[in-house]
Amino acid sequence: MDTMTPKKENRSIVMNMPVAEAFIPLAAAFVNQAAQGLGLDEEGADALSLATEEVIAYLARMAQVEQDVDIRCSAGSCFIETKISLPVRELQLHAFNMTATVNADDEAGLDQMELLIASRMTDRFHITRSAGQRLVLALIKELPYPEIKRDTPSPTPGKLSQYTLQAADAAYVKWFLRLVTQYYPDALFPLDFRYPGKVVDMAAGGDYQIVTAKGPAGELGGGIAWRWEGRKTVELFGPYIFQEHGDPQMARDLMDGCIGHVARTSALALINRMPTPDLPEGYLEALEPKRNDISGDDGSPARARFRMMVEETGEVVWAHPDVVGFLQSEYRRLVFPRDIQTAGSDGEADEPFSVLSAEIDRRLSVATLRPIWPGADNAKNMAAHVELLGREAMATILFEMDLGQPWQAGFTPGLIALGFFPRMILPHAGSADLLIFQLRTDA
Amino acid sequence: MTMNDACMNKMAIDRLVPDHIKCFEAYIPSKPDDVLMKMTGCSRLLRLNNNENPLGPPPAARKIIETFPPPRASVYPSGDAYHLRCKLADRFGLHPDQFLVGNGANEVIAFVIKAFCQEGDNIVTADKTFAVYEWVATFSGFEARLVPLQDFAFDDAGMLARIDERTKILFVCNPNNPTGTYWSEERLRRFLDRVAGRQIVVVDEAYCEFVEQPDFPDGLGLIAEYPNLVVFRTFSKMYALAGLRIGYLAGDRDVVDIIRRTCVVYSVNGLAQEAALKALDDHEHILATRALVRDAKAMLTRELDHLGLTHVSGEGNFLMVRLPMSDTLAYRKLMTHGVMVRSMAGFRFPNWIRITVGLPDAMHALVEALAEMLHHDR
Repeated sequence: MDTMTPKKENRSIVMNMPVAEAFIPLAAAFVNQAAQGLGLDEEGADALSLATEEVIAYLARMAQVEQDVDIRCSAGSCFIETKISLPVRELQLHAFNMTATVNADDEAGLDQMELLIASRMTDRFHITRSAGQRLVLALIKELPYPEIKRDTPSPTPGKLSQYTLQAADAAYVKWFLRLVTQYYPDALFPLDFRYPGKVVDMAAGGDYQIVTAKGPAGELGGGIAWRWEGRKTVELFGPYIFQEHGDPQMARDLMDGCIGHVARTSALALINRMPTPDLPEGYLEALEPKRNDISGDDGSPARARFRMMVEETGEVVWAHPDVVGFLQSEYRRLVFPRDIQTAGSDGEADEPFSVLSAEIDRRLSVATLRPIWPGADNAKNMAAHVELLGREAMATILFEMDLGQPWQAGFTPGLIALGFFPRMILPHAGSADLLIFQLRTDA
Repeated sequence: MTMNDACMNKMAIDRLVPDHIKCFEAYIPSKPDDVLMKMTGCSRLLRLNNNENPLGPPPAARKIIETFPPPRASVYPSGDAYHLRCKLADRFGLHPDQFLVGNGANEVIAFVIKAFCQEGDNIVTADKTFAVYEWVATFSGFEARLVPLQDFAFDDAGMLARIDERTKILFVCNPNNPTGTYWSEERLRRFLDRVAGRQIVVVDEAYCEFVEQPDFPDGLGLIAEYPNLVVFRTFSKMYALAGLRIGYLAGDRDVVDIIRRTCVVYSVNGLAQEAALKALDDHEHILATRALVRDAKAMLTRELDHLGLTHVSGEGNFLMVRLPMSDTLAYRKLMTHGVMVRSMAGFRFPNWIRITVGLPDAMHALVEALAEMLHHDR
C-alpha cells in the first residue's frame, strides 16, 4: 500500500492579551482578520469574530482579578478554529457551565447566556479543561463546500480480478465518494462524504485516510476510509465494494490494509459505527449490547462494532452502584478483565458547584456533555443543561463518563433520574473506559 | 509555584519535545503475571506469547544463576563483557573486538541505528516483522521504509527497490519473526552482492539456533566476505536467559568500532554475562530444545488441522494461526483459560495469533482452550 498522508500540523496565529473590556475590539479584529487570512470567507469570519467578542466580554465581566488569555486562531483541514485559553481557579469554574449567566439573579433567561450565544454563531463549540488547569473554549466554523451532485450516476464498475490497494489521490477520493453515495444508503457513510471537496481537503491534511482497490487499468473496485478520534481511537468507514454481489476477498484485503496501517500507532481501538454489509465476518466485535431490554429504546439491532488493536491486560474502573450491573454484564460480553470498584457520595463535603462541558454539533444535532468538576448541585446543573439543549433542538444528548475518574460516578443518579440510560462502553477512550449515557427520546 | 507558573512550565516543556516524539506512543508491555492472573481470574498462566524456551537455561548456566554470590551484586560487571566477547570470538573464529554485547538484542538495534543514521536518513525493513527496527528508527526521527512480505517472506527485490541515497541500514530478520520464513545462504549472498557494500545490512538471527535446514546461512561466517554485514544474536530464546537481558552483535572490526561509539557500557549485568558464557558450551541443550520444538510443532499442527485452522509454521519455536475472529478478542478469551498467546494485529496480521511451541501439557491446554473458544463462537 502507498504511504499515507501523515496528519499535518495546523497553521496557527496566536495573540495574548489582558481580559478587559477595553481589549474586546482587539480580540474581535484579531480573530476576524486571522480567520480570513487562514481561508474563511467574510461571513464566516464575522460570525467567529462575534462569537469571540461574546466570550471575551463574558470573561471580562466575570473576572475578579486581572488575567491574560491566549487566543489561537488555527486552520484545520476543513475548518477554522478559535481557541481561547486561560488559567482558571476552581472557584471560577462554575461560570463556564453553558447555563451560567453573569448575574445569577437575572431572570432574562437564555438571552443572557453569553456562552450559548457564542455557540449559536459557530458550527461546533466546546469547553475543555486541559492539563495544567487551563480552561479552553473552542469556537469552530466549518469552511463552506458544495454538496455532491447525485443526479448523474456513475456506471457500476465490473468485477475486478486483479487489484492493488492504494492511498487515494484527490481524483480517486471524489470518484470513491460518488460511488459510495450512489450505492450505499446515507446511514452507512458519514455526512462528510456528501462534500467531496471537504473530504479531499481533510485527506490532504491527514484527517481522513482513504485506501482504494484499483484495477490494472485504474478501475475503482472498492475502498475504505478511516479517521482519528483523539489519540487512542480510530473510526473506520466501510468497507465499500462497488460490485453487485460484493467481493469478500477485496473486503478482507481492505480491512487488512486499514488495520495494518493503524497497527503500531497510538490507536488502542478501532470503531465502526456504520458497518456495511460488506464488512467481513470476524474482524470486528459488537460494541453495543442488545438494547431491547431497555424501555423507551427503539429496539434497533446493535450496530456499532469495534476491535482492540492491542492486547487487553485489565484495569480498575470506578462506577456508581446503579450502573455496576450494566458494566458487569457488558464487560462479561466483551471479555474485558475489569476490577469494578464502586464510587459515589458517602456524605463527604462537596464543592457547591459542578461544571459540565458541552460539545454542540449543530449539523448533526448532537450534544455531548462531559463532567469537568463535581459539585453538590450536579443533578440540578445537568437538568439545566438538558433543558437548554432541548430548547436548542439537539436530537441526541449524550453524557460521557470516564470510568477512570472516581468522582465522575457521582453524576450517575442525576443522569438516571433525568432519563439517561447507559448505552455502551468505549474501551480505553478516556483515562480508562468511557461509559456513554444517552437521554431517552421519550424522557 | 502558582498555577499560572505550572501552566507556563508545561507549555515550555511541550516546546522542547521533537515532533517525531510527539507522534510516537510508548510501548506498554504486558502486566506482570500475578496482576494478569488476578485481573483475568485464572489460577495458572501458560506463557505462549514471547517465544521463551520452556526448558529453561542450560544446566551450566542454571548453576551459575543458583550459585551467584550476593556480594558480587555490589561490584560493577565488566563494562564491555570482556570474557564473553573472548568466548564468542573463540567459538565463531572471529576477533573479540568484532563483538558488542548489549542488554538484549533490542539494545544493539539502537546502537546500530544511532551509529549510522542522521537527520533525513532512512532504514528499510519488512512491514510484518519484529517491530523494534521500525520503532527505534521512528522514535529516533528516521524514516522506516516498510516492504510488504511476499508469501510470508522478506522480499529482497522489494527491499532493494526502496533503497535511495539516504538509506543507511537494511534490516532482515532471518528466520522471520513471526512467519518463520528464511532466506537461504544463496539468497542472502545474492542480496548482499546487490547491496554491494553501499548500506549496512543487519541480519537478525535471534532464532537461528532453532533452524535445522542445511541451506540456512551462518551470518557470522559471512562477515569476512561482507564487511557491511552486521549479525544480531540473542541469549533470550534458545538459551532461555530472557530474564537476564543479554544479546550481541558481530561484524567487521571497523564497523563494530563505529557502532561501539554509540554503545552504553556497563549495561549488561555480571550474572547475565557469566550465565551466557556457560550457556554457549551446552550443545545438548540445543538438541533437546530442537527435539521439543519439533515434536510439539508436529502435535500442534495436527490439532490445528483437526480444528480447521490455517497455520503458518516455519523455523523457530513458534507458529502462526489464523482465526475466524479478531486476534485481540481471541487473546482475551484465551486468557480466561490461563493461556497467553501473542495477538498479531500489532504485527499487521489481523486475526492471526502467534503461539510459542512448548511443553506437551501447555500445548494440550492451548488446543483445549482454542477448541472451546471456537465452539462458543460458532
